[in-house]
Amino acid sequence: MKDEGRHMLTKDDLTRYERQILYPGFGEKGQKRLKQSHVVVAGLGGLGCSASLYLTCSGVGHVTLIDCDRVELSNLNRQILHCEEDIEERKPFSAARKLAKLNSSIEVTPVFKKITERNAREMIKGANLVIDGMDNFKTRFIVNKACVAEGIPLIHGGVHGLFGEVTTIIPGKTPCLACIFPEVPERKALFPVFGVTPALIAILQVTEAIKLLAGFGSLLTGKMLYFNGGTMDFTFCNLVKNPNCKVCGTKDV
Amino acid sequence: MVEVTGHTTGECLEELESRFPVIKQMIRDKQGQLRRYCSILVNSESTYPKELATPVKDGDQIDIMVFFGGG
Repeated sequence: MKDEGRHMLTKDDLTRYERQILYPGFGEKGQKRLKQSHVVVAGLGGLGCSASLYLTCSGVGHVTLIDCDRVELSNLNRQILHCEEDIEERKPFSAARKLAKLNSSIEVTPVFKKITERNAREMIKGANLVIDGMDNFKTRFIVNKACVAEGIPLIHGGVHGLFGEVTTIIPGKTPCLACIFPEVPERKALFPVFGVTPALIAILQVTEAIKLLAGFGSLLTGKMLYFNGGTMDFTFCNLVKNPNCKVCGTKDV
Repeated sequence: MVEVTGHTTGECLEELESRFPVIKQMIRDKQGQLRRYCSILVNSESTYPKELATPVKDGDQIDIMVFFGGG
């Protein structure tokens, strides 16, 4: 697609998205906003696969998929857009092929590239929102910094085993990742994860994305939602901006 | 939520760790330092860089946040 068609809903759009258009407070106006939106999914692992699937089927007009890895057999317990036949394929391209079949009316842009301190801002520039689907602390902090610099909201998600977390970061308004974790944590070796954990967390991230883009509901801003799948507990931790934050702080440090 | 006593975050955490030893394994490394993927908040505010030396008063809420880095 199809920039020229993004300002209006087609007859097919009205049919495809009928059930969500019925939602009070969303309607055709909300659907149009999704259609006009560009979302970057940074990382196509367990989080990014599920997130991009639901961004695509909900009708976000342009989805960019960024990852620098190739599909491996050990990914398949959780990275649901990749199949056995995709092993060795570049993840963004493997994912984009499935998403194009799911919804050919939107634009999906695969980017097979590593996000670095140097290119991060350029890679997200112009997006309405970034979904954090990354698998390591270092890149998360790079993207957090780039989002703050570009003024682009970041929906953070992270998982470990049956634990997960989600928060919505809006530059200038909410705490950023560096407010909470001022130093980049050390890289951990292989960590345990069930496929259901990133699936659930990604769907919560997309729920936040839909509300933020369409402008309804309340968001996980200024709080971290924690999920413990072992006990089925959902808990919240309130967060406040750190004025001394190295990324978004207002005081000289 | 658990009630603990202490004048600082460090003292409160030590009491918590003595009652729930598994917490110590989760939040500290072999040298006893707080792991970098843990953050200590007092009344929702970051205590960095004095995570274990921030004064607390009666009624304060201390949160231990763990950063889940996997995706």
